[in-house]
Amino acid sequence: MSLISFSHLSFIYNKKDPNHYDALSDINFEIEKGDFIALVGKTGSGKSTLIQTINGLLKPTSGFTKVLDYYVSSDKNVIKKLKKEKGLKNKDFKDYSKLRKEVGIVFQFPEYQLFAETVLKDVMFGPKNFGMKEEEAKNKAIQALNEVGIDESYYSRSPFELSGGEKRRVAIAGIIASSPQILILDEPTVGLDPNGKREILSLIDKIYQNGTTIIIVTHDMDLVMNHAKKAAILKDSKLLKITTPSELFNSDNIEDYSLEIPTFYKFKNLLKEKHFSLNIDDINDLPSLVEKIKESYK
Amino acid sequence: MNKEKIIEVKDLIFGYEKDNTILKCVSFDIFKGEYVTLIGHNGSGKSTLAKLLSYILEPSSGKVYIEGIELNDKSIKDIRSKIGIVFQNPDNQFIGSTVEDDIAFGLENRNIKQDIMKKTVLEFAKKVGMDKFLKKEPEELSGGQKQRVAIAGILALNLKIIIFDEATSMLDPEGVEEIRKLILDMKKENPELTVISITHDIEEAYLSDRVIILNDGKVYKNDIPENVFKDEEEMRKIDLDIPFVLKIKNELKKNDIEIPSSIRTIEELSEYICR
Amino acid sequence: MTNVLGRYTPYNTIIHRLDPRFKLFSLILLMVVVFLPYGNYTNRFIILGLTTIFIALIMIIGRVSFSSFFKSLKSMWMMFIFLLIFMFFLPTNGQYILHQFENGYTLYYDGLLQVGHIILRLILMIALTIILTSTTQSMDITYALEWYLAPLKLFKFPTQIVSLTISLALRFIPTLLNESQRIMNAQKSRGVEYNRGFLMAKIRSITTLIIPLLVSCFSRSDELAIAMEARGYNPYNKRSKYKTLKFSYRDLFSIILILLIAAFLITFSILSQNLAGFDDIINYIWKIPTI
Repeated sequence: MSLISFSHLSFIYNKKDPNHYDALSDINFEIEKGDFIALVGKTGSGKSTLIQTINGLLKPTSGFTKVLDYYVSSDKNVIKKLKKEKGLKNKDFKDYSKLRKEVGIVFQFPEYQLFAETVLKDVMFGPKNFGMKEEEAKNKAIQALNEVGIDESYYSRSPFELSGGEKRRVAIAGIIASSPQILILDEPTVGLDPNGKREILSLIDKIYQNGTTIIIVTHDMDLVMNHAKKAAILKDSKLLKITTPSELFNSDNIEDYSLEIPTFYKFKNLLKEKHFSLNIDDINDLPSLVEKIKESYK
Repeated sequence: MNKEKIIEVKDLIFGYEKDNTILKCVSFDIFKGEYVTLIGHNGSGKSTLAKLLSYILEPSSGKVYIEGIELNDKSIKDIRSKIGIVFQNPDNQFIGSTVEDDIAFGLENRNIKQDIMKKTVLEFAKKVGMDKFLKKEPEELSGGQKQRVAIAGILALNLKIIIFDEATSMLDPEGVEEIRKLILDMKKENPELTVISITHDIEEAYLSDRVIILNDGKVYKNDIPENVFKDEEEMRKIDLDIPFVLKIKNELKKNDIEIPSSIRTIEELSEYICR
Repeated sequence: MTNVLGRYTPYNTIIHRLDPRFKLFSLILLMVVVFLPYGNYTNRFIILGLTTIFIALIMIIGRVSFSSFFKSLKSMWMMFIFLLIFMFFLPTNGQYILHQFENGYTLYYDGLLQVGHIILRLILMIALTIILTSTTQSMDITYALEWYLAPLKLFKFPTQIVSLTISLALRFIPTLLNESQRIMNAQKSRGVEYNRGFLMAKIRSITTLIIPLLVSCFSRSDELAIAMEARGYNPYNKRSKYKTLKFSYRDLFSIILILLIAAFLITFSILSQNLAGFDDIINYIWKIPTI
C-alpha cells in the first residue's frame, strides 16, 4: 500500500487575487513505504509547494494529498466527499499536529530554525512538542545527535557558536529525533563544502537504510544519480514523469525537462553527438567509460 | 616571469588567540591580469584570507601590498577604490531596491554625474545580461541574477581587481554555471582585470590561470591547475576532489594516452577524443 | 511569493506614475482630513462616506487589490472589538438611549456611532497607506522623504543617512517576511502551533520565531555593512543621485484636485465647529433628519 498519494492535486497561490498563479496542477502519483525519491525540476516548478502539502503546511486548493491515514485538502468538494465516505470530521482538515510527528521536513538552510540555548535542548524541542516526556525526549535527542555525528561535548554548547556544517547537522537531528516515518529534505547540500556534503549524504543514506522513507528536493543531479532510487520530474507546475535516475539521465529527451545534467552524462552525450567509435549507451559510470575510451585508442 | 605584481601577500599570520592561529605564515604574489582561484576545505583558512585581503580583518602580523601600497588603516580608503568584492550571500549585498539602483550604488558613492551614471548602469547591466530587468526588485530575481547584478555594480566602477568570496556557493547549478561563464567572459573582454576567486568549486578552479590551495592555514600548492590537481591521492588527503576532465586525463595517461593540457572543458575533451 | 500587505505591485497606472513627493503629501493631507471633526454624526458619516468613495476610486484606478486589503483588515479585528467594548459598553451617559436594563444600566447609541466612526477612520487610514505603498516603489518613497527633509540639511541634520536607512529598511521588509514565513514553516513542522493556546503558550511559540529571525537579522546587517563599505560607501561624503524626481502636468492637475477637496473639507470642518446652526443648514440642504 502506498504511504503518500497525491490525487488530482492542484495548488494556486493567492487564489482570489489578480496576481494568482498556479504552482501545481493536477498532480497524481504515489510514494511507497521505503522509497527514496528525488523531486527534480527548475526553480519555480512547484517542488517546494508539493512537499509542504505532505505535512499540511499548505493545503491543496483542489484535490488532496493522502499521507498514512490523513487527508490534506482545502477543496470543499473533496472535504465533503471524504466526510461522507470516511467519516472524517472538520477538525481532521485543520489540525495536522499528529501528522507532523510522522513527517519530518528539513527545510533549506535548516540552521535558521535553531533557537534554544543549548544544542541538546534544541534537538529535544520537536519530540517534546509531539508529546514525549522529558526523559524520553532526551533519549531520543541523544540518539539523533549520535546519528548525525555530534558528540557529547557539544550538548551544552549554544547552537549559534557552531560551524555551518555542524549547525546543519544539529538542525537535522532536531527533525529525526521525533523518529518520523517520512523524512523530507529540501536542498540539504546547498552552501556546504564537498566534505560537508559527503557527511550529510552518507547520513541520509543511513537514515534510509534504517527504513525511513526519504523524499529529497534538489538541483544537485549528482546527488540524484548516486543516492536516489527514483526521480519525479516536475516542470511548469506539472508532473512529467517518474523514473529511475539512470533511465532519466539516459533518456533522449532530457533536454525537455530543463534539468541540469550531471557532468558524466553531459560528457557521455557529447561523445555520442560527436560519433564516438564505440557503443556507450549502457555505460553508467566513469571507470567503464574511461575503459571504452582506452579501447577506442587501440 | 616578467609580469607586474598587483597583490603581494607577505608572511601573513592571523589568529584570534596567540597559540591558535588560523593562518600560519601565508605568502604569495598575484600578477596583473591573472585569474587566480584560492581553494581549500572549510577551516583551511581561505575565508579568513579573503577577509584579510579586503581588510575586513586586520592581520596579527605580516603585510598585504596592493599595487605596492601597504594595506593599513590609512590606505584602506584608497585601496577600496581599487578592489571590488562579490560576496557569498546574494541577498545581503543587494543594497538598492531595484536592479538599476543597486548597480548605481557604487557610482553614487563616487559622486558620478547623473547622465553619465544612467549610461553606465545600462551598459553594465547589458554586459551581465540584466538589462531587461532594470526595474525588478530583488525578491523577483534568482540568486544567480542577483550575483550578476552585484558583478555589474563592480564592473561599472572600472576597478582593477575583483575578488569573488565564495560567490557561487549559495546558488543553484544554473546560477553557478552563469557566474562561471561570466567570469571567463569578463576576463576575455578585459585581459587587464585581475580576478581572485575564493571558491570550493574545483571545476571553476580548473578553468583559472593559477590555483592556490590552502590547507591548515598554509599555502599547500601554488601552481597552474594542471599541476596542482595532478595527484588524485594527495588531493583526497586534504579533502579535495579533482576536476572531471582531469580525472579522465589521468586515467588515460596510465595507458600512455596523452591529452594536451590546453584541453580543459568536456566539450574540448570530447572533440579531441572523437577527432 | 505570498502577497504581503501593501507590497508594491508593478502595474503602470496613473497613480503609479504620479510623483512620489505628491503622493506622500496627499497621503498626509487626506489622513488629516479624515481625522477632522465635522459636527454631528450625520455630517460626519456623509463626509466620511464621500471620502470612502473617493479613496475606493483611487484604489480602483491604481489597481490596488481589494482582497489583500480586506485580508489586512482581518488582522485588526481584535482591536475593533476592544474599541467596541470600551466605547459601546462602558460609557454611562449619552443622548440617545438604545436599551435600558432593569438594574439601571443603560446602553446608548452614541457609543455605537462613535465606534463606527473611529473604525471607519482607521480603515480609511490603512487604505491610504496601502495605496501609497502598493503604487510606489520603496526607493521612490525614500527619494520623496529625502526631498522633504532637505531643508533640514541647513541645521546639519544627516538627511542622506536617514533616507538611506529608511530605504534599506523598506528594501529588506519583503526579504524578512519571506524569511519569517520560512522559519515558521520549519517550526510548525517541529510541532509548534502558532495559532493555539493562551498568552503564555503564544509567547513561548513566538520565541521560536523571534530568536532565529534576530540571529539572521544581525548576520545580515553585518554582511550588508561590509558590502556597502566595500562599494565605497562613506556616509559623510557627497554622493550623487541616480534618480531625480520630475514633476509633470499630471501631478499639477492632481495636486489641484486634492487641494480643492481638502480645502472644501477643511472649510466644512471649521464652519461646523464655529458657526452656530451650521448643522441645520447642511441638513436642510441634504434633507436628512439629524440623528
